[in-house]
Amino acid sequence: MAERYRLEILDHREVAPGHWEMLLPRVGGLRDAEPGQFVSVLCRTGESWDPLLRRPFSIYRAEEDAFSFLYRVAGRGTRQLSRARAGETLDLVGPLGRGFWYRDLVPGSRVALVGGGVGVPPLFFLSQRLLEAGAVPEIYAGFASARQAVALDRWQRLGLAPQVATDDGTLGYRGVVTELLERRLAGEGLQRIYACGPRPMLREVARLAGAWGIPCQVAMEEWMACGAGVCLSCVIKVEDDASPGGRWMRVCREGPVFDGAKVVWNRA
Amino acid sequence: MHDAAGNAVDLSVQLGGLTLKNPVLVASGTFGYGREFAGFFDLGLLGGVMVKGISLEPWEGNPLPRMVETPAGMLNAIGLQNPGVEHYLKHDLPFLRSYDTRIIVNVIGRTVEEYARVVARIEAEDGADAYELNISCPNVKEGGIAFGSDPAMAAQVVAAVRAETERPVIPKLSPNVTSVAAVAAACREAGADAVSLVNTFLAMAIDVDAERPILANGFGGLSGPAIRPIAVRMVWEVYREVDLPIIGMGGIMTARDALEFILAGASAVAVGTANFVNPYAAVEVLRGIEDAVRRRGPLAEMIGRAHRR
Repeated sequence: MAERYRLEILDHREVAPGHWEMLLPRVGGLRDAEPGQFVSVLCRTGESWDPLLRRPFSIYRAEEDAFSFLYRVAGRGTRQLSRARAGETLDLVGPLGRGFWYRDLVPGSRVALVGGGVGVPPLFFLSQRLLEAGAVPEIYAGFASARQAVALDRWQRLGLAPQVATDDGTLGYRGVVTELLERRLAGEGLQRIYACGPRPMLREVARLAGAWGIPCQVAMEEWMACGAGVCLSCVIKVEDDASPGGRWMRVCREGPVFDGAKVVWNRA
Repeated sequence: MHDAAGNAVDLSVQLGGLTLKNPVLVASGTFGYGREFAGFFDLGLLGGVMVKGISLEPWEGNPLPRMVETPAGMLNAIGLQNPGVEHYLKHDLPFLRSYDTRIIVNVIGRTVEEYARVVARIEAEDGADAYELNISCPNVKEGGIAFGSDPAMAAQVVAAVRAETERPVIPKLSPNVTSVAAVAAACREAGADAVSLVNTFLAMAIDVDAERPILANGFGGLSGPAIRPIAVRMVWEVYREVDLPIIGMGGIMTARDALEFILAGASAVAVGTANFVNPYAAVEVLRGIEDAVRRRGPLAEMIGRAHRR
């Protein structure tokens, strides 16, 4: 159950240029957070009402007593947030949304985790849970360049070796991460794909997954006002049995994780 | 509600035939049909819930982007997406009825007749304690603001609904007019019991890099603390010029904001955009008003008191 928390910032550091990791105590209902779920964070400080709205961030790491999210400074909300210091208080609501589903996987299942940019870190939390469930995660991570590559060291510490693509070729494969996925699909044994990243990447992952007949879950992003399911700002078209042409679903409530085969991508 | 000595603090208000146990409502479109907030607090704490606008048939709403943040506020152009009156009666009404709070149904329509038919349908199921008529949504081409920007049109909608129900009828007025008092006066003549002041302000934001409007709809409605001083002024004007109870709303974030509206003449207040930012906002506003009544005396005497100082 989502609640509002006012948490003391344990650590807050710039892990790559313009990329910050916020570490917070994992208390109350936050202990039940699942991969793909998000927290909704007030980015302003003190008495100001500006910027007014919370910002949604998916969970990156979930340790015993602490969790973190990783964000890129992209606008005035994240710019203000980046000025927060350890020891200060952060106001957040969470955990929110419906995360990745994985409990149905049988031990030994091989799954691909495909991320792009700041969509990569939330897959780390997922990989933690997948390992606990006995699944075998393969990580595919795409970044603009080596300077923006985040979260890779965390996987290496777990003994996993992410396959990396960068647009400029400064790290790993030169090209987009979906090309790495496409090569992998030519091989055998992949049972599921999980993806988190920019909309065009998700769309291509869903297309490839469909072509190869592999189930695929995508974590969608959309501008949110409330994060609680009432404002209807963050809706996307998703098909279900009753609505073959798709009907509005709330990224913050029915999502952010959807079946990639059901998302109506032509609106994206 | 009790004071420090354990004595009851009377927060009840009369709103043209509608009795609220306290003056704190939640504004239509910012609270859904209550379900999403029931996990945060007991909805029975509220004086009432103004549910999201309901139409005869389901409405699809507008394309995206539907929302953008602006300085100390936000623009929305949701386009009144809603599942229609039958869905409300079947799925949302029983849930809301399980709480000890007033249900004020916000009604939308493309024609005068549609407003009346929605109300008639809800009347048949005993599905509301009062009706708020949305004649002021800036985001739909038909209906909505077209009715609220002209006193005669507004009066037509009120009269048509008046003919269908004995329950309180509360038009929600647009601030996008030259004289909101003139519209309020016309609504009063047509049989309105109270007015909601105000809906969002017609506004716009442009993406300077893409060189085009940010919202798919082009225009949207501005809400949040950015609009509060204008909304307070409009409540002040209508209180001075029209003898009709007022539900004040527009950027209320705290109890002190709510007290501004009450002192300007509002008998009740609605917390709106603040619900998006702080899920407990309405409850915190209620606690603050309770505290103010304890310190300053009866709520009824506080209504419009700034006019008399």
